[in-house]
Amino acid sequence: MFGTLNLPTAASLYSPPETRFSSSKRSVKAYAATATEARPYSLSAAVHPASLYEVLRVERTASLTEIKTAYRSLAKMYHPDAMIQQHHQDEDDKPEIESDSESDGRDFIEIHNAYATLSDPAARALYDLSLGDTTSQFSNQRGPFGFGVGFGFSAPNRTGFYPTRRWETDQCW
Amino acid sequence: MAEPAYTVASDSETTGEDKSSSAFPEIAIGIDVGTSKCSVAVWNGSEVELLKNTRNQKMMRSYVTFKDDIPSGGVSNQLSHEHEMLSGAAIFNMKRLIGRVDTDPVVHSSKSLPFLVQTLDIGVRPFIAALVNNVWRSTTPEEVLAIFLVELKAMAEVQLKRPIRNVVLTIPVSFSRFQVTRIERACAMAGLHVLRLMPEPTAVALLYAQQQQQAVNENIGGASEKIALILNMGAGYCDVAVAATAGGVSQIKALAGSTVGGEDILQNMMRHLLPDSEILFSNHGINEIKSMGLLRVATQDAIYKLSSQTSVQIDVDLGNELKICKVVDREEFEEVNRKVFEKCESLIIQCLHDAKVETKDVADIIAVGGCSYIPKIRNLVMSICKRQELYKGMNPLEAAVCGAALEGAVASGISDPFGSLDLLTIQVTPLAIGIRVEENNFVPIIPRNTTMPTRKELAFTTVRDNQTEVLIVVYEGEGEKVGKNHLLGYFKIMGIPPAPKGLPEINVCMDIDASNVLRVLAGVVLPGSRHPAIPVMEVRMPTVDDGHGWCAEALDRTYGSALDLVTVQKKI
Repeated sequence: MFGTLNLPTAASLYSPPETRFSSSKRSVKAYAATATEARPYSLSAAVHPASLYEVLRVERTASLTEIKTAYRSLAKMYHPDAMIQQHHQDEDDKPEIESDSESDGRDFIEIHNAYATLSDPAARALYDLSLGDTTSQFSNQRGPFGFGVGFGFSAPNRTGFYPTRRWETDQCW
Repeated sequence: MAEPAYTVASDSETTGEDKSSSAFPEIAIGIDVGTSKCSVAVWNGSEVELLKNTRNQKMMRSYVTFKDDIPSGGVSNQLSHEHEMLSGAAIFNMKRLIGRVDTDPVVHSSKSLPFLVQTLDIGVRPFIAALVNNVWRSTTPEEVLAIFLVELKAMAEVQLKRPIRNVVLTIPVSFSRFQVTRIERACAMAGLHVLRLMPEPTAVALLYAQQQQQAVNENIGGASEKIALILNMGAGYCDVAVAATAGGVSQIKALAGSTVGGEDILQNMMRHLLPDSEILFSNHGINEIKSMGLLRVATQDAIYKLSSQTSVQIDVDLGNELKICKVVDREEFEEVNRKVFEKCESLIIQCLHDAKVETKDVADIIAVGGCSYIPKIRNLVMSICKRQELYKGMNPLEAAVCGAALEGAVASGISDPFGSLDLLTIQVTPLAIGIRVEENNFVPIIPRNTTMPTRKELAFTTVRDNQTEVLIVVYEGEGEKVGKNHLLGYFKIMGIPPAPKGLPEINVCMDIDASNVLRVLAGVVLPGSRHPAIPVMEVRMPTVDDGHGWCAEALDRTYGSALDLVTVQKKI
């Protein structure tokens, strides 16, 4: 979904997110397809994920006001309620409003999580520190910030039996 | 237009899955069903307009009379006198009763109303009945609300000259998800499709957002963020919200609410004037009902007067040689209702705290609802925020319904050439949602005041070696023990591969989508495996129905702690 966000075309926004946990409407077939095809999340070490700043489309040096403004303007585009309205304006003849508003949420949840971190000075400072480090460390930081939208928290290593693993990389879900 | 037919569908009708909005933009109307009064508003193409009934009223009493064969509600019915509503034939305060069981203190406090509220204190729905020709005729809060909504619908259809289907309703912040399903059922019975259920202060926040947006458009000033504290206190509920507003976006920061309102103030005063009134009226004899009605009207009158004058003379003959002749001053009134005011105060403080907002950052204080006319309430909210005045741009009785009508237009996909509908509300969850773990503890998975839509998850594990089943019991509320919270549903995960305790990882994920539908998902993973050991369970909540008060007890009796789980201790 990080990739999707950076694509400005409307088409990609309305396409159902691939790794989403099933809403009852999704068919089994769709799962099978996504399990083998595109892996937008990938393993975080392989593909550098968008930073929270990129999610909000602001500079690393952005002020709190800029972050808030960016959040609000993105919310107006990606909040499921706002998308219903856009849909009515843009494509009045398309009867797929329901399926779109059903496939909602993920973009907005991600935007909100980015905002939640960056609008809190302490959390932002911590996050900035993690950005300075290597990619792998950054990805470890994601758990505590509640970044993952999917089944995506870092599994705790409490037993020592298995390494850190994120559900969102588990396409079988 | 002909007399509206009361075609209330059967109570067994489900709220249905047909959430699909039609392709043509039918503008949803906004309805504010208050505990005591109700109003309807709609976006008329350029602004929000309140609809009036045939008697030119914008605010209609929320009640239904079962006097004749056909019940009639406060929309069309003409009361010959206030006492008619208190004769036992009319059911009111349904918003306080809907979705509650007979052990609920709120239901108990309703027992002194003129109609019959009978409790057996066993955790089922209370018996509610209206007195019709000396017969107690039973009904339900859902049925009463549905009859009332049918009248509202008919009224709106006559005025707007089109069929009405989609509505946005306002609800109290403290409503549990189970109560929400009761409201949805009442709407379904009335043939209405609920587009959104908005917590009341968030509807007010949306109106505020629109007003700020318009002010910015007119002055071409800076669109800086403004934080508003909203107190909405009516007859039944006291709700508080903190909202950050800019550019037509109303971002709810926190919500707080409680079942405390004008009805409590009224009952406290009645008790103050006639200390043993509850015992006196508990039998519901014809004469007692009449006395009760007289006292109620006199007390209500006195409370209204105390908003503008410092003392009031109460002089009422209740019959049976019972006379009340008393002067009550404002100080006495405030002392009698001290607990109500303290509760309001604590809700405001909690909401500001949850929103992480300092009082100095609050730009506007908005007090709406019937109780906002009480001087003590106004002073209280101003003193907490250290301000001298309240926001003046809204009619306190119409703010919530106007906000609901705006949301109705926005959710129907209507746009306005002048940008008046360029609005968005970012809602939060009013109550925490979580599951039961060992020793009846409650572990929240989605904390309260979480922005919606949302998806959160937490890992749990087994408490016994070779435990193959766990019970996922979902609750909503703020209590640390599940007993204090509302049960939403439960399901069992079976077939967990035998393993030492603490080893299988049970992931419980909760998902609330934009239309506020809650889904609970649970999956099991064994260490070393990347795949779920058994198929994931997905359950739409709430699943409980009437008599749900018993479910938790029955589960406990049958399974004890055998199917418990515990939280996995996370290393941070």
